[in-house]
Amino acid sequence: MNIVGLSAFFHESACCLLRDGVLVAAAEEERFSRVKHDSRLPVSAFRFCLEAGGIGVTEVDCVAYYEVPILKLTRQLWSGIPMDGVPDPGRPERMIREMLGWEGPVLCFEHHASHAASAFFGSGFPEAAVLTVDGVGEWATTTYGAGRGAALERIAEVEFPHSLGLLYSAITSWLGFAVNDGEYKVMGLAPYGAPRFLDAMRRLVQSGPGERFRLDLQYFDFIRGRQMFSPRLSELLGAPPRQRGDGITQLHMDVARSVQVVLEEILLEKVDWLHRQTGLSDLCMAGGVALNVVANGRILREGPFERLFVQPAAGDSGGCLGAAALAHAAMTGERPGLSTDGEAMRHAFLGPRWSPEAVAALVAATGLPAVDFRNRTAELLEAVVDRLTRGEVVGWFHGALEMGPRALGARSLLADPRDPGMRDRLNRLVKKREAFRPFAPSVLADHAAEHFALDHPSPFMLETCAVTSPLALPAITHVDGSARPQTVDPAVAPRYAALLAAFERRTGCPLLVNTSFNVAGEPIVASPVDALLSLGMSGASGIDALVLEDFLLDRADLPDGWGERLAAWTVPQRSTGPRSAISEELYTFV
Amino acid sequence: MTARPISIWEPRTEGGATVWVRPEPGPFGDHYATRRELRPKRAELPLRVAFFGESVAAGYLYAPHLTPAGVLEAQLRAAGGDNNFEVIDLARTNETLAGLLATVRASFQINPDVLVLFAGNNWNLLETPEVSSYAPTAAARREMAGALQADGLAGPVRLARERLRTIAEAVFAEIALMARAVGIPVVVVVPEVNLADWENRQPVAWTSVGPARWHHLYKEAVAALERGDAEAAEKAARTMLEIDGGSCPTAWRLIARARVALGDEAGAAMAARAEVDAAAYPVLAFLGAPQAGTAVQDLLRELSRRHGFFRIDLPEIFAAYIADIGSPLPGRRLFLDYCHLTAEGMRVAMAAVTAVVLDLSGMLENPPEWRDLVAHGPAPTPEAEATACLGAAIHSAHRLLTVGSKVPLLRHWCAAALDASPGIAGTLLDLVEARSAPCPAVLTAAQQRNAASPYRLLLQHGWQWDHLDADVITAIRGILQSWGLEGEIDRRLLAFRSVPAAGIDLAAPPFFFLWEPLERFYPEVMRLDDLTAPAYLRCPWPETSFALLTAGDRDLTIELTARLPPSSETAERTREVRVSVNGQGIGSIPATARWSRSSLPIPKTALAHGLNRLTLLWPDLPPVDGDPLAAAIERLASGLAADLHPTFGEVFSLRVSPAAS
Repeated sequence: MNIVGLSAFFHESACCLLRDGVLVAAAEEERFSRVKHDSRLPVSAFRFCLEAGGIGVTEVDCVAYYEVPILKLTRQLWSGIPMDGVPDPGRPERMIREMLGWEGPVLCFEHHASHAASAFFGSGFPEAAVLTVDGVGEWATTTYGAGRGAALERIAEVEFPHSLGLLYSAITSWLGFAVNDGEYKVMGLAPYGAPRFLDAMRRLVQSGPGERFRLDLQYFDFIRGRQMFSPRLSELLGAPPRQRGDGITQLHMDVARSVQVVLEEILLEKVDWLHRQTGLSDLCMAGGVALNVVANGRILREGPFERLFVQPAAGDSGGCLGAAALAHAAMTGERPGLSTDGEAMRHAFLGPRWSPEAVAALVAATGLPAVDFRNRTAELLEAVVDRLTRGEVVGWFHGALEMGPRALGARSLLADPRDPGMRDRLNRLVKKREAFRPFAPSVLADHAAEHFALDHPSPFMLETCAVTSPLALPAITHVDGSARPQTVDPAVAPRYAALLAAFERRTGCPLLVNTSFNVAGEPIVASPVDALLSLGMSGASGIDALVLEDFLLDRADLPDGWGERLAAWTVPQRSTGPRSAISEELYTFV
Repeated sequence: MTARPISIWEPRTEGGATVWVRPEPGPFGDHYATRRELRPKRAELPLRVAFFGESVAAGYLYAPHLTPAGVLEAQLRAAGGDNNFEVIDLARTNETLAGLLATVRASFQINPDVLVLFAGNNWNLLETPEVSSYAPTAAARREMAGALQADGLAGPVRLARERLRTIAEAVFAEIALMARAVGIPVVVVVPEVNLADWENRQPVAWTSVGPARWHHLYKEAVAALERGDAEAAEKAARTMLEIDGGSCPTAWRLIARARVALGDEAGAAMAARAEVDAAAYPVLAFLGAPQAGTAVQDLLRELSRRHGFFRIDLPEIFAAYIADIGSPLPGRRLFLDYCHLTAEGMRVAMAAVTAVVLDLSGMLENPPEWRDLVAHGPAPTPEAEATACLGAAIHSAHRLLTVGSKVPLLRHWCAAALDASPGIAGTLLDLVEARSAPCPAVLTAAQQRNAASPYRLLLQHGWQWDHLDADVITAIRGILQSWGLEGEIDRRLLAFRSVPAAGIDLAAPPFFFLWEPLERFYPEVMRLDDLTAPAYLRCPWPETSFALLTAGDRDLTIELTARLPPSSETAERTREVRVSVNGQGIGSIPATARWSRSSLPIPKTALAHGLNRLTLLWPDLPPVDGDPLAAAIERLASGLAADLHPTFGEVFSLRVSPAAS
């Protein structure tokens, strides 16, 4: 049975293909369209999934959609959000039929049910408590449940407008970062601050008994859709909101720290409640707030659950996995395992891949001076290590693209974590982002415990822990001594693991800085062409070398003016679409 | 007063004076003249002519090597004295009326003595894009529905023309006011368009009779033309006109062809102009080409009269010129494509402007006639001429839709390029290589070679289009065959895009292998207005062709996933999609109104080495249910985009693989 899962029209849209309950392919639309956070119907991702599954549109049994539009409409009407024309709950199905050409059944599942299913069915846990937390779905903003076999039960929920996700987004906006994009920045900024606004934050959100919490709505303005926060928030914090581009002061850091602390407190409290309700030992989490890796780390360390599984595409893009899984369960009565053996998802390499022959053809067409390492993988890895140990930043393109927001060794920028100047260089010249933002490491799974307070695999970079390494690792150690490691299992990512091993042999350090392979404002690269464009566009001080499967290119060897030509071509090519599909001022409700 | 930018020229203070400086153009050029600096006029002479307009005025495909402004300046100096005239080129490609007004307004900072406005070709496309059944907003779609409801297919045309008139009147009134205030004359150039060589074959919209009959008549007319029976062709075309009400340009083109065959030049010109007028507004799914139709020309004449502007009527000038040279309709001697001028066209058009400006200047007792000035003006270098001709071929491949093959016209331009400068042969090969590469042309080695050559292709030459351009390649191959280079072309074609062992989907978005531009002209396929493109190909013409690259040394299999338009009469019926390769039928594939997948072998004997044309010939349109135009209007009224024409079929995939041995 082939089930296509879709998430769309909200944040990052995505598509997946589930065959007999096993995840065959999945990808976000932004990776194809090159529009960051693209929320449009994932047409390209849909075609990719069918292609990857080796099927045509005639062999799909069902399309599963990750929301119930009519329910969402009731919330939209309640909010009175101004829209262009009449609210249209028929749009998702109409678009699925008209744009995808789909003629068969469309099943819709609640937003948080989709999140919950994506986490539980991907966890491999026979039974587990399930917590979903985000901005808002239809009405729910947080749900509590339990999964057993093929069944998912919802125990309780918190409804809009009371939302931990919207609380965090409101503070993100107040701090001058883009909503739905800058939440990571707030989390990264928090360790620089002191929690001196805890009282204020506790006025914004009051944790109630049991599952409940409430926002004090006088400090927010998102219901009417004008902006995230009201002027009263600034009064409460005793300062005007930061404007984008303004300097970041200690006050901003303290506000970030305070909201992070309050979020963690509430999550710990609710997780404790959920544990008491279910009596289960394992927890699954999904929803945008489940991407808060600092909170995840605390939940695992300080919470009552023994094990935690966070779905790698925990945000809205991953909703498609859950919707497809729910459709499978509904149509067969069986539990979808997502992975082939029904165990936990071990990797997120579910996107498009390019054969060595295709890459060789591309390289030949470009005429660029690339070194061909086909059938010489060990030499390729040594050449990469040469460059890393020289302090170079290497673009690493290998295998199938990752699903989810994290680069996990398929489309990564890699660097030496021991280099004291590397974090600044990556932030300033390559990623062109704020200096305070930390970078995450990849570490060989067998060596993880030697360098981090981590006693279990963390393949998706979804929790933080203390750095305990005997090595100085300034590029990946955050100001509070934490890091967000990815443990790399050679059985799952053999070439990437081999690279880490080669780096260790040369340096004694089995870690690398691993950040997503993209340049400022762009989604993570998907194709070899995207990678070449990023290499050219990253500027003179950007990416130093690029590994395209078995080929290695050094920026220094590129023809003169190559980057300028790409820039001149790329700007008019891409100017027809928005750089970012989401509003940067307001959580996207419609 | 604070200095304001003039177009892209930004003010800057140098030695106490204001100088306007433009940013450096990028490696692929930009839309503006390359003059680096503009300064206010200080002395009485030279007399300063400020020149405004759209791509035609900017010398599209020749710029920066040759531009109308440069020709005008040379002609003025040749006739009026070297130091007495200068022309400031403020024309730009993609100019709108609002942009024109802003630039004219800003230009007064540099004290022009005469304004020359050469615009109008963009007015059908850029001024009222919201009058479309694919408008990006629900409000505009509803307005479109209202216009269709009120006047049928003529409604949106009327709406767009009324809007254009309002905009143009306001812009010209303000220009007149400013010019009067400083006491300088305004010269308006009414543009002419290519009537002989440019065609606008478009499918018919839903009509009360039904489009099936219209398409039958089209086939009849084309067949009649092919056998030399012009009367029969015209008869069929006139019946088509009765069905479409004159709203579709296709029938007019058939009549123009018939009239040419009958030796009736005036009748042919009239029909060709009616074709341009019918194509001016995209009431159908497709973007027309930028061309000034009769309504725009008449509006320019009227506004010129109203404000006392001096008018140069290029339709009259060109008619007189081609009469002198014995040519029936303005065509390839004057135009590179739909509206952009050849070097000769520039000289003729600017001669007319020169004559008027010389007269206005009062510097000559007996100013020359425009005919006397045509011989003056710079000639492009052979390399620039060759590059412009090649650009014309590429550009035409991207926009031109003809009755019958357009390869002969493309061959003309490729041959003209080689005649102008044989050295461009290497660029032709590079173009083939870049077009067939598995990456954007800009990433290719071929592009790098071209960037270093004297035939540098810029954005205006369509370098950034990443489609195979099968017609251009066919034309190039045909021309270079006599140079013994066809093997070289085939080698490049097959290097990256021949059918791989795993097979290839010729119908995958963004439709790289589509042979013609027609199906790409849906706004969402062109990714306009951030619209979502469908996952499949809509086919609005009875035939849809794809480029198939193969060595031709093995049998292939095609696997088509397609569906036909729904109809209650044919709902469950299986019908046949015929398949041809290089014009030769190879079989048929069953299809229904729901997606189905079937295969068909292609024997290697049917295949050529290199480029092959694989064509799907759709079954006739089924009888329509209800009133499809009314249904489309209903969709628009509810804020949804709508096709106003039928589709013959839809293709989800067309996979070609080596046949199993």
